[in-house]
Amino acid sequence: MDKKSPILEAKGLTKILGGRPIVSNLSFRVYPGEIYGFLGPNGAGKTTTIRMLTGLIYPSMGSVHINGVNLRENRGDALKNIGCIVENPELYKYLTAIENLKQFARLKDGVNEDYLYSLLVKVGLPNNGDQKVGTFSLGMRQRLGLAQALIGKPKVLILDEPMNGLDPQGMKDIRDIIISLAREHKMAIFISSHLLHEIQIIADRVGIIDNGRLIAENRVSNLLSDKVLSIKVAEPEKTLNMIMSSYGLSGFVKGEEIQLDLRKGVEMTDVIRFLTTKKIDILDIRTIDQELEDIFFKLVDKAPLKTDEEMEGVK
Amino acid sequence: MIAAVLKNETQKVFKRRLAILLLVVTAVIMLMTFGEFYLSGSAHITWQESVKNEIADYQRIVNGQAPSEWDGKLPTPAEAQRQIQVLQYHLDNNIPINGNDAGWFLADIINKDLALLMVLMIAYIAAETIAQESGEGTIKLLMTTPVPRWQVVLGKYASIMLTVTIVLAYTVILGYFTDGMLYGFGSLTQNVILSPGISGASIDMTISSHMPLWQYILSGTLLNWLSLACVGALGMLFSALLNNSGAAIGATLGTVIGGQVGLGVISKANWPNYLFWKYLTPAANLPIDTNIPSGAQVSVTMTVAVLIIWALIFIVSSMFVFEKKDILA
Repeated sequence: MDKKSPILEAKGLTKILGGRPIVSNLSFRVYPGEIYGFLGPNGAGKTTTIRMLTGLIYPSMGSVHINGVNLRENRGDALKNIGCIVENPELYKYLTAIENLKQFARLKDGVNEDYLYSLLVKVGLPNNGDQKVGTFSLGMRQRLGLAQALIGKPKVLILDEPMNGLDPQGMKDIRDIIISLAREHKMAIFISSHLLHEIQIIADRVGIIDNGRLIAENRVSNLLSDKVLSIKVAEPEKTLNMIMSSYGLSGFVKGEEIQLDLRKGVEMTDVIRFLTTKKIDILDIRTIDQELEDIFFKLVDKAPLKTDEEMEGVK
Repeated sequence: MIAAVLKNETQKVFKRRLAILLLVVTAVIMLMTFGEFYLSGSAHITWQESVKNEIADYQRIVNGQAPSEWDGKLPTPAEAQRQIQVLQYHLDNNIPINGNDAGWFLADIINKDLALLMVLMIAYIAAETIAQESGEGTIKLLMTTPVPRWQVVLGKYASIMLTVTIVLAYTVILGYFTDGMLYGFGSLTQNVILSPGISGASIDMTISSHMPLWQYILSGTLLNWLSLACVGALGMLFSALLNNSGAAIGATLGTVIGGQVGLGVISKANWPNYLFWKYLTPAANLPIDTNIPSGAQVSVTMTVAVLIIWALIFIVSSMFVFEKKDILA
């Protein structure tokens, strides 16, 4: 996949607002057919980045290329290739669903009305076309937002928190649509989320942003290949120090258990042998599959992200 | 692309605001016609009677007596004598100063009462057009489409001008027919004298500036439309600058009203003639004035030029501001 040319590319993207860098020197590439997860805590610069990618704000430095076209130099041609939802899908509440879609369809070439109705069916709103958007739930608006993003048959789909406000069935529906767009239509999908589990399920690669900087970028399968070893012993603190000084592994104590990151060719059997020679009784030992969330918190080193309910409270 | 933008923006403003604007205009016109009819019946004082009363007042001044009631500075007997001449000319030639029929009612509301209401209306819908989308966040999806930003500004401006044109046309038609049904339609070709003619130191009414009533109404309506175009463009500028419709509406109305108050203070100087505020109501441009003109009059050409230039300045500035703006809504 890396041999292909990227469909969406950010080069040294920087945004300074009020003398403070919100996003610093961000570079990444997204390829056709790829789902790129964009993770970061609140205030990390996710939305600012997305606004730069979609031409809403101008980068202080750096550039965005969409399908090889420089967004700054040729805005119209670059934006023809993208469909997006930025933050909440704010559509015109006083218009019906289909009227909203028609509004955006007029601004794009060669879209007919039948296609708009087919989009409503695709996102699961087959019977809501003539309903005013003001009466829609947040989940329905997310679905309509996705339909709106697909109007121009874009090559890149940029989705900011598309799972917000969806129930489990809604999440599954949207997830299935996103996966089919990437796999069957070779659409590149740039998706930001604080729902790490969702990203883990659908993304091929992830970029993790913190304080406006990209602090990690890798294939999800690579990130999750490292195993964590959970060991229960009588004196966890002391034992952890011994293992860390002998093997140079990182880990921490959680309750009575040691959580140890296995890396650099150190296997579980090596650890068991080491503890046995040191005459330390192993009360329990098992490997844990890492979740993206664990990696994320290790990298970002912050309190857990806010849940949807808390986010609603903030607004 | 611009045609699509215009269609979109027209749909938005029609859905949101057209009905309420037409409703307000209807209510005001009904109040002014039926309300007055209910209060005083059809027993208007005729224009001839009021002119005769005025002549009687001037006659007292000429005779050195105090008039029955008088606002402002008393004219000298010589001035009063000339005013009598002007008024008598209207009476003798049956040229109304302010008639009672539908044409005159229309001239009156277009030039005075509804002109201000219209200015407030367009200030409101122009100021909210972009700012409201910023406030509600819908601007984000709109501005991620391939449409150039300046086209969005222009499309929005055109759509509010279209809206206000419809409201203005509706006002003219509704006002004419409602008033006509109650008080009679009268003739639209009757003569209107805008100001008395002067030849040297004496009055020569045969050279007074005059036009048929229909032309007077049409001119007033067009000037009204131009001042609305100017205020609308000002509203667009604040709408592009501010991210909140309330703030944009406040700033626009503040500028319009504040400027007119300020203009009153500096009215003696010449340069305020180049400011748009002076021309925002057609009554300032097309006054029916039976008084002998004192000082230079501002020509209609001047009015049109000043309004168009300011409207252009405002709309080009709006496009520039919006083009450069980071959309952080």
